[in-house]
Amino acid sequence: MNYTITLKVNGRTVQRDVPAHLTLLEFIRSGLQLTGTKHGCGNGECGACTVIMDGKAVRACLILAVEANGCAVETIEGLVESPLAPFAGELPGAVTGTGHSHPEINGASPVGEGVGAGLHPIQRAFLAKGAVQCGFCTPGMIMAAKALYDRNPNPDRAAVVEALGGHLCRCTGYQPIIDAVLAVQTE
Amino acid sequence: MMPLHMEYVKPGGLAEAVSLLRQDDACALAGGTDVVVQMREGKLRPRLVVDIKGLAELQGITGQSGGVWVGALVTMAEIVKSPLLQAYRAVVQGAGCMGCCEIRHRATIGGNVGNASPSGDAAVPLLVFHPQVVIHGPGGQRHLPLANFFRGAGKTVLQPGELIKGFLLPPPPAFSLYMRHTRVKGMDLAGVSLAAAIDRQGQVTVSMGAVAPTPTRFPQVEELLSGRPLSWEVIAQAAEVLSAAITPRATSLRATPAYKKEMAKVFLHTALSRALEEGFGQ
Ligand SMILES: Cc1cc2nc3c(=O)[nH]c(=O)nc-3n(C[C@H](O)[C@H](O)[C@H](O)COP(=O)(O)OP(=O)(O)OC[C@H]3O[C@@H](n4cnc5c(N)ncnc54)[C@H](O)[C@@H]3O)c2cc1C
Ligand code: FES
Ligand code: FES
Repeated sequence: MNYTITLKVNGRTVQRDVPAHLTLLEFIRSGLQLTGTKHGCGNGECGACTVIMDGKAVRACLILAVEANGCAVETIEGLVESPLAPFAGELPGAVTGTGHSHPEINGASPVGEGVGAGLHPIQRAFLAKGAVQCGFCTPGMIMAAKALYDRNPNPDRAAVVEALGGHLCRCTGYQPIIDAVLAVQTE
Repeated sequence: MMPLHMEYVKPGGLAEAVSLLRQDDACALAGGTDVVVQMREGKLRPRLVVDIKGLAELQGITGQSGGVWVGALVTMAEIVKSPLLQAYRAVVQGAGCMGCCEIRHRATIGGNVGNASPSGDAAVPLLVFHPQVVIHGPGGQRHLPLANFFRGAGKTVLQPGELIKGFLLPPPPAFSLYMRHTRVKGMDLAGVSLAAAIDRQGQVTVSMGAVAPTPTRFPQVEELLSGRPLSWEVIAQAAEVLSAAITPRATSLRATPAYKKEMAKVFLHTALSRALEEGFGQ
């Protein structure tokens, strides 16, 4: 049985039919083809799937898509204010596909003049501090950092460590990521 | 793999929720941080998932005749921030160490108690405050001390159709503390945990997690410690009694029985030393 859900994703209203067992993570990746949000453990343990739902960082792998009905969801794609948002055009209707394509986003780079132009300040800080290696944990880290800055524009190191505490990174050893989040300039 | 044929309902009222939950293989869904994991692991295969997050009666933290009402849907993040609950420090500490930020935004107190894990980080400290569990079901409402709610690992007294509405906490004790040991500094479940409280009359309450099939209180230890000044001799004696009283299973993933028995002593000692330092228990 399918359920019609209506939610805001990165500011746009989306309406889809989803089965009850589909997770918000599967919906975002396969249904909306927003593959910036990563599927790591699928069990709430790693943080790769972190998105912001109604202002709070949450794990998309632990939420059913039907539960997000009526909610506002922000994904990593929403941080770049550009017309490149992948689902600007026609969205694929099926939500159970594997969703390996990146409609729209393949053609152009969001980086304009100079490295990092057009990116969100947190993304620029990650580039500046070398906080990205393989990049798999990065979208989750950045969304957790964004949720932190949204409620506390001046976090100290302890607040950053707390906000990222449930996020695993196999590459960086965490320090560059913490440094990057602390270095974010908020104007 | 997730149960492919399950259905989902989000009832708007308590009566509807109760009638839905009476159906065979129906399962309440609060924050889903246990339910979704258990479904994916195949341990839980509900035919019907009843999303209770819309039930207003299960929300909120409010003062009530010197104590506090905590709705079942209150999240760990809300507990940590609640001014009313700061006087119940142990449960704030338990909520604060659960999972990580993203988990605490979703995980509810009703879900932690309803899941009935032997080590629930909200359930174990909650026990030392002598709360009543308020249960709503087909037969109306009933109250029950939390200590009588658990029936075994993952098992509770809840009958089909029954829901935890919330918890009634009596006025706060003078002192309380929660401690847990994990294998890693990062996210992990408690390998062993202890909560202690001392009320204004000098009554001591002690509970432990991950040493028995359910979060458990220890009346023999409480009796030894209550109504008298806490001397080092009494504390040492109580620590031995506590350690002897627990029989943790050998198959635990997180700590051996011998280790848990040692940690029981260390935790009790630490908790009561802390009480003395803060000026209680003399
Ligand atoms: C990554 C991760 C880390 C975790 N870390 C910890 C930890 O450190 N400590 C810890 O204790 N737990 C931990 N947990 C487990 C879980 O987050 C907690 O047990 C949480 O409190 C469950 O609440 P929930 O609202 O998500 O419950 P749900 O998953 O929605 O429900 C749990 C159970 O309770 C039942 N239920 C829910 N609400 C009610 C109600 N009102 N009435 C009757 N039954 C109800 C459900 O049917 C289900 O059986 C962790 C989980 C994950 C995924
Ligand atoms: S994929 Fe969700 S926490 Fe790992
Ligand atoms: S950069 Fe590779 S997992 Fe973090």
